[in-house]
Amino acid sequence: MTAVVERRAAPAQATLRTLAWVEARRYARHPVFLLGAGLLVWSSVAISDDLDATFPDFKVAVGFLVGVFGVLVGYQLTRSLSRSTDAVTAAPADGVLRTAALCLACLVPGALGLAWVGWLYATAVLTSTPDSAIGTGDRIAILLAGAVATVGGPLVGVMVGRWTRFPGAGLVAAVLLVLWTGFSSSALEQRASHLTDLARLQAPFAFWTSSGDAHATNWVAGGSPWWHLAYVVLLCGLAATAAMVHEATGGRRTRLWRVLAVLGVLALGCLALAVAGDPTRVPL
Amino acid sequence: MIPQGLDRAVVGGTSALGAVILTACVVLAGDHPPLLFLRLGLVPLAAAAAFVLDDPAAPAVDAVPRTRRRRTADRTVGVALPLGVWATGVGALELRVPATAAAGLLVEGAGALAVGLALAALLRWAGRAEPGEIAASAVGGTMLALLVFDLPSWWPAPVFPGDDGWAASTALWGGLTLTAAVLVALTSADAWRRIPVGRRPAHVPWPSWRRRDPEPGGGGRPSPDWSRSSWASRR
Repeated sequence: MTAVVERRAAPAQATLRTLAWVEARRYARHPVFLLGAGLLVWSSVAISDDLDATFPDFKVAVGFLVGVFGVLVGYQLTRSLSRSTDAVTAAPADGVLRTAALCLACLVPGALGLAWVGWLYATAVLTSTPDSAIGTGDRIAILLAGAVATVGGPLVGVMVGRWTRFPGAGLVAAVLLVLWTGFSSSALEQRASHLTDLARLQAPFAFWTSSGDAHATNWVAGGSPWWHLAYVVLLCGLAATAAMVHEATGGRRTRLWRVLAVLGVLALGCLALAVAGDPTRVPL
Repeated sequence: MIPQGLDRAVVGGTSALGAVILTACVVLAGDHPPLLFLRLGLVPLAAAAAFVLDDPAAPAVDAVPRTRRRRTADRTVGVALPLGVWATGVGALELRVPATAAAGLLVEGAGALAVGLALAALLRWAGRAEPGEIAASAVGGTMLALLVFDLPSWWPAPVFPGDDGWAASTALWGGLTLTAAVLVALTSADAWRRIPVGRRPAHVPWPSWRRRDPEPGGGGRPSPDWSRSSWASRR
């Protein structure tokens, strides 16, 4: 006679915490993440003594080296389990939980991004970077958008890894993100208007200053950095929810679709408020 | 001829993305060629070249009597698609914007594709049957980084030049193309398999050799000492 011991299933929160910890360690040890972090340290040394009034836009370093590289990391981490699907599906955690754990692991690059942004701001304060037309609050908002990009890139990678099946999709997503950002930032070369602000700020990564004529005519573009920050945070939520929707079934799937719709509407509202500000460009 | 076993969806899909970006560059070009966006279109094309050597059935294909170098040559034909897309895009852009440095861009594109292919060949040589994903990510990520950030001032030749530095850049990409071609040829050689001491090679018609006796009349050469194989005597 076989004795059957009934064990209570671990609560979902405990499982999620365990899985998230495992995924976070996998993320932190990924070669592409380590390469991006190393290059970030190198570029930080190079720019630390060259900060001028346009320094908030230096966030492109962390946005690219941790955020865009993070698309590749998030995608590879998500797809790495595809060959052992049978074993993974037998584990006591459903797909939504596993995807949520991957999304939580994206806080690893986020922590690095936040630390880097804090370092840049402190360096700018300590080295007496000249004052400019950008207020302190707006500077912080512009810099924080760089930290949010370090979470958003990996989340896009997770989402692409969940929804696509063909190799190379992660790189394609990274190229499209850079293309999107490059195309929208070309709006800085157009005449100032609400329309050009919309073209510039609808991207997940926006530039706020321009340095034409060899830094002789630096200016800051119009719009609200804080509302744009809220917009990119909501885009991150959209990416995470869209990744989880793929694995969800039944009532949970319906709820996630509703969350997706609400986040989308809120993101559009934040974008409208970011663009609603005065589009006039102010010299730095 | 499209080689058997080539992942047409991946190579065709990434080439199609490159074609769309290049078409947008030609349509939206002004007085100067949009070099940044043009090179962004080169990234998926280099990725397509990296996927050409992917062979999920490699363990089975390795057993067939067809050398790896021959199979590589067959598969390399697949690079013609992304290369053709790049050449067509650059040619169309030159027609639209005569100031386009077409020759330099063509060498640059060929070099980027060759580097992607060489990296994939190197990874395959190291034992990966499907090296495309890693090779494409490495080449694509490096190209994106070089497009976004400037190289240090001490770097001798611009990788992606703008107004000047095309001669040095063309020399750099030409050298990279040649190096990559040599690397692909070297890493495509069939692996030399060491035969353990004392074991007969399976591909030699061994029994017929062993039964050979001296010619009648005793005038022939003495029979070799078959009690110990010649492979073992090499110790």
